[in-house]
Amino acid sequence: MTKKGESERALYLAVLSSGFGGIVGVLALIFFTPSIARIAVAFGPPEMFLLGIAGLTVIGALAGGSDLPKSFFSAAFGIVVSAIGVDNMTAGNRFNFGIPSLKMGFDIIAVVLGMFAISEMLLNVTIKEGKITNIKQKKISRIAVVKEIVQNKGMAIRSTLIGVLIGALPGVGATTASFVAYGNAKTLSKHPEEYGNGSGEGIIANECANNAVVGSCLIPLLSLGIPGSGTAAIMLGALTVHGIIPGPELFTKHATVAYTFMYGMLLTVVVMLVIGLFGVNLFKNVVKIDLSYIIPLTIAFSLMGAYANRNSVYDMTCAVIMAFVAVLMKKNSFPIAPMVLGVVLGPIIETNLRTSIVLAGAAKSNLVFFLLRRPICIVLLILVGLLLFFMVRVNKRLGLAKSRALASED
Amino acid sequence: MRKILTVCIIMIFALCQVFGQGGKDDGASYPSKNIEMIVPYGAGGGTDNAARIIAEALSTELGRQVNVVNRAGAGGEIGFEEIATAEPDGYTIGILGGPDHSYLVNIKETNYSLDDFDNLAVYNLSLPVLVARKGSFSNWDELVEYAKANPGSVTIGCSGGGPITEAAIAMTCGDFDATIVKFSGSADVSSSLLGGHIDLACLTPSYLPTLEANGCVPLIYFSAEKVPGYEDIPSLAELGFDVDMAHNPIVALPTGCPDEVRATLMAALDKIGSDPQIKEKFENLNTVYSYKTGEELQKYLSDMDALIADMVVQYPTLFV
Repeated sequence: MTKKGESERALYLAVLSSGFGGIVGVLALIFFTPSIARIAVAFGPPEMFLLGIAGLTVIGALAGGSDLPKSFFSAAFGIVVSAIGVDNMTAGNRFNFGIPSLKMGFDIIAVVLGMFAISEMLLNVTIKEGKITNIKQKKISRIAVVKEIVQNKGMAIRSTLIGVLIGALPGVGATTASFVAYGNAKTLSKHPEEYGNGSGEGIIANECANNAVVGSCLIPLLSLGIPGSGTAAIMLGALTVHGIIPGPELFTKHATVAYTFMYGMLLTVVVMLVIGLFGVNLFKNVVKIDLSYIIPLTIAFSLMGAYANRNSVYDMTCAVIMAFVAVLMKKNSFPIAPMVLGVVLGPIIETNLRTSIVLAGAAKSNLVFFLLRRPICIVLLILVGLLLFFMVRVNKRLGLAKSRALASED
Repeated sequence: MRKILTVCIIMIFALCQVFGQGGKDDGASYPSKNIEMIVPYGAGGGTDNAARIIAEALSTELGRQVNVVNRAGAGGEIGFEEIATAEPDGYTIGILGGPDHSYLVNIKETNYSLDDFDNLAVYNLSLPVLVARKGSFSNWDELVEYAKANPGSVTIGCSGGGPITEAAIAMTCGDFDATIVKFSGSADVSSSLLGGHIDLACLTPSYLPTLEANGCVPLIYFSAEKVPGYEDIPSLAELGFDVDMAHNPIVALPTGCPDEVRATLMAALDKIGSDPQIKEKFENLNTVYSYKTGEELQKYLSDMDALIADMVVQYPTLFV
């Protein structure tokens, strides 16, 4: 969007959708914790496996008009990368080629920072002008942006709900929610060809979903004492150190703590929104900064982020390796996003598939019949079927749009 | 140019400050710089919580900052390796997540051995319990009777070395066959039990309030001791089995530290061990406070290691 001079619109869209998604997520936490928690535990290993598969179908939408086989390759490559390291279920070493540190595997944070942030900077080195863009950035009123979101209210609400529900499932997380919401918005959109080329819808879907997760990922923690994410695990630790065990008791014995916590979160979302709204005037100047400052700073901060996650220099190495992999992939027009999705969903699909097979064995059945006996699984199977259908349709349309564009250029 | 030079000089001074603290010292002046405490898991877990309590108390006792460093990865293996291979000078202390470190040695080739650790003290025990899902079994006998009649149909969810060993112990003591379902984290085990996707789970008592509120039934302890407030749950030891399993954060040094260093640390740990406030902090974590050192600790840990080794021999397919 910046390349079209619309950086301000993009920023406002991001801030406002984040605020909307964040507030709904926390409200869901405050009002619907028990019922959402019940839905979350109804998702056992077989359901999580199918959910992972449903998530993978998003790659069709992420393909962005480039050919589907290449997206599939990227996703498969991501899944293979996610298998590197010690197997969480049996503690066996996998694909570490005798290198001790490879036992730690490729952490998703290092992969994301390397493939999205650092690789982008490496590619930017080749820009001669020294700026991201020289196009004059247009001004836009906040009201106009709010109107744009209201126009897309159906999609925004859908994305937020996706964020709330996926966020409440332990161990799935914000990355998956964003991808699924984006893919869902794109497949059902009237203008899928605009996604990735300055479409506001993509930003709305993505930001609504990943901020809705912030509140809802605490639902399993507060109601059941199950930490759904790394952040939730740290909160659980902090609470237990003070003698508070999250769970049903939290709302009866320690109601003040529970509600202070929840309203505090609501406050942070509101404050973030306010800071965002007034900060846009500052943030938009980033595009004016010379790339010779942006590139080293972004790389340095990305490496710091990779290190901080597990206090490990090894993760920095991973980020750098993945950055070069991403550059190679981009230069050969392989899309990056499906690969990241593969790394995120790989472990979810794999562990839950293995657990499901063991469970099916205990039930004296095979996997297929075991899945078909579970109602939520049947719903998910239908969903996967529909998603595949839409994926093929969208890609056909994108392919047509592309060839038409090529024809008009001739 | 002068500016760059000035910056460089400041940087060099800063680096000297960071790395040059105290320099080489003999055991007598220990500790003359800050101490690193390696936790082989991410922040927020049971071992990490215990480590932070110990680190805070040690900092006050020793007069130097004890910094907790989380080195998560590969189920603790990365952290264990790092503790084992650290310089034995007392400036790297490890918190081993027992019994994971001895479990790994028993099932795979590791880059460390149990002899690489000089175990100093254990403060708290997290006592595992076998819990049944809502509407399945109401006591141990009921489970044994059903599981014997229907071999392999009862599912036990576990995550990590301790719980897998406990599931094996349950099968040995009850003389039945069950299906062990491995998960990648105890949070997943707990949510699967709540959702009724598995019949039984080996979990620590921090999950019990939620589980009981949702109709799950704790069946039996694998340990000799019991958690205050949960004394009415029977234990395998009471049924006459010689079984004592617990998950315990162990304060350890890499083997080969100078005697003076070890003595200073030991004195500080002992002092913390007699502090009632510290006891309360550990009990807040829903763990049992049980300070163990020296001979008692060595015997406790080697008994547990023998039990794990025994289970690995008995159920070779379970541990691969």
